[in-house]
Order: sequence, then C-alpha cells, then structure tokens
Amino acid sequence: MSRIRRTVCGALALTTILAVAGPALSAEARAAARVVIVEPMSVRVSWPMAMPSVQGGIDGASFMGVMPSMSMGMTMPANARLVIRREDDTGETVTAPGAFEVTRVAPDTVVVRTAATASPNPRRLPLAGGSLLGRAAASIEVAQGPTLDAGRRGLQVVVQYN
Amino acid sequence: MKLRFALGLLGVACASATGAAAATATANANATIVAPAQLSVTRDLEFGSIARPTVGTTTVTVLSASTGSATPQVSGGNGFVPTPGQARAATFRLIGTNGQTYSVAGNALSFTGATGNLANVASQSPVAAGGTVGTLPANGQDDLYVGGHFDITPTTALQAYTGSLTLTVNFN
Repeated sequence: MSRIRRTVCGALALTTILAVAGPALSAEARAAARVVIVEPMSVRVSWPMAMPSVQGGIDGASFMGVMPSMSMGMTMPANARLVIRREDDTGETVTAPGAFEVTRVAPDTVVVRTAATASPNPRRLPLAGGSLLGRAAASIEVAQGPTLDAGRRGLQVVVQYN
Repeated sequence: MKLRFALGLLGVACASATGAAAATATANANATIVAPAQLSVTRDLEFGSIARPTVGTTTVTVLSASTGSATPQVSGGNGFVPTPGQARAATFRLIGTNGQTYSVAGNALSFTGATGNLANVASQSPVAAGGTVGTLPANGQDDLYVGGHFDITPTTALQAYTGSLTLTVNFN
C-alpha cells in the first residue's frame, strides 16, 4: 500500500514538473490574406452603330466620319466594332473568356458565344469572332453587311456562356 | 552509509596531500549556442479572383501547399475561377533546433467585412515542407504551408476582401 502511495505521489510530482516546464516558447505570426470577388458575367459588349455619314455624289455615296447615320438603310458598315474587355475600369481581371464568336440567330438578334480557347464552332459563319490573348482589350472587325431589322436602332446582343 | 563515510575520509586525505606538489588539470567544456525558436511569415495567403455564383453556394478552397501559382478549388454553386494560377497558401517559417518538437496551438483565418458576404471562413490544416508537422527536421528549420476556405453566394458583395491568417506555435 505504501509503495503504491509513493508511486502515485511520484507520478503527480512528475506531472507537475512537466506542467511547469510547459512549452519553452510560444510564438505567433500573422500573414495577410486576400481575395477578390468579381461578377460572374463580365463580358462587356459594346457595339456602337459606328455608321459613317453618307454624302451622295454622282459616282455614288462616300462615307465620312464615324458618327451614326440612319441614311444607309439600316445596314451596318464594316467599321463597326465589337469590343470585349478583359479588365474592368479599376484594372481588375474580369471573367471574359479567351475566344468568342458572334452569329445571327434572328434578323435583329445576334448571339455571342464564348469559349476558353479556340473559336467555338468554325462551321458557323460568324459575324465576328476571334481570340483575346492576355489581359488587354481587343477589337475585332465585324463582318461586312449584316442587315438590321428595319425599325431597330441597334443590335440586340445576347451573351451566352457555354 | 559505510561506503559514503569511507569516501569522505579519502577526500580529506587527498586535500591534505596537495601542499606537497601543485597539479593542474584541464577539463573540456562544451557549449552549443542556439538561436531562440522563431516563427515568421514568408508568404501571404492569396485566393486570387473568384467569380461569384449566380445560383447556389460555392466553397472556395486554397490547399496548404508549396506552389506559388495555385488555382483554388471550387465546389457547389456555379462560382468559378476566371484566371487560374493566382492563388497561393501562406508560408510560415519555423527555426529551432535539430528534432525540436512543437505544437500548433492556433490557426485562424479572418476577413474584414466577411459578415454577410463570406461564410464559414477558416484555415486549412498546416502542411510541413521538410518533415512532419510537430517536429523540426535535422537542419532545425521548416516551412508550414497554410491555406484556407470560405463560402460565397449570389449575394456576396463584389469587392476585394483583406484579412489575416494567424498561426500560433508552442516550441517545446
């Protein structure tokens, strides 16, 4: 009985010693953490009706400037541009994909299809298409002569994510 | 008791004899000077840009790993990572002695403005670069990689969130 008591006391003493010894050093360090939450649909499409003014002449019409003009019978000229930006106004990267194409699905409706790398479907005949490399904005020429529906002042652009 | 007494007598006898001739003995003394255990930050935690989901809840996770160009894991909802390779786990450097043991007493991640925007914010378990978490390798130095995770929803505010990842280590 006495031996058991001594053993218990010894164990308690050892526990006490270990508890007192504890960790030799407690250290704390703090790292910074950061995340940017962006909008999921951030392909920015601007399709100005960059129709030039038309000046009639004996040998036909001539085009001047880049201001919109309704005197072309609602025909979009070739200098209209589709602009997709991959950065927002603050310089943050947005979610524009790397490639896209614009095809007509109705007289007054075009669809912008996007893909990660190459043009989504080369068998379609897009009004416009191309790849955006890097983070800079890109401008892509629009196909010649897409006719607009009479009575509409602009194109209706639908962004469709694949 | 008898033995102790006999040794005591011998010691007195030796002391009495020193008057006859001087003798010098040299003993070697060794000391190893070690730096106190240290913990420091060598890389911050970065999640990169995350596209907010339009439906569901998306969990965004940066794993505890060494790579400096990681892509967060996303699960749930339809949130996604628009630009891969922008994320990296935080790195904490521990400096101690060969085989020194330690314990991770605290590991907490928080973001300013998380309330109502980022839910279930927490850090990942540390991963040791050179050995096992809890024991320093032979060179007495190791790196701990610590990632984190959180949930976002369609109502999460679009902005940059900054915060801190605090690691507490008890060196033994």
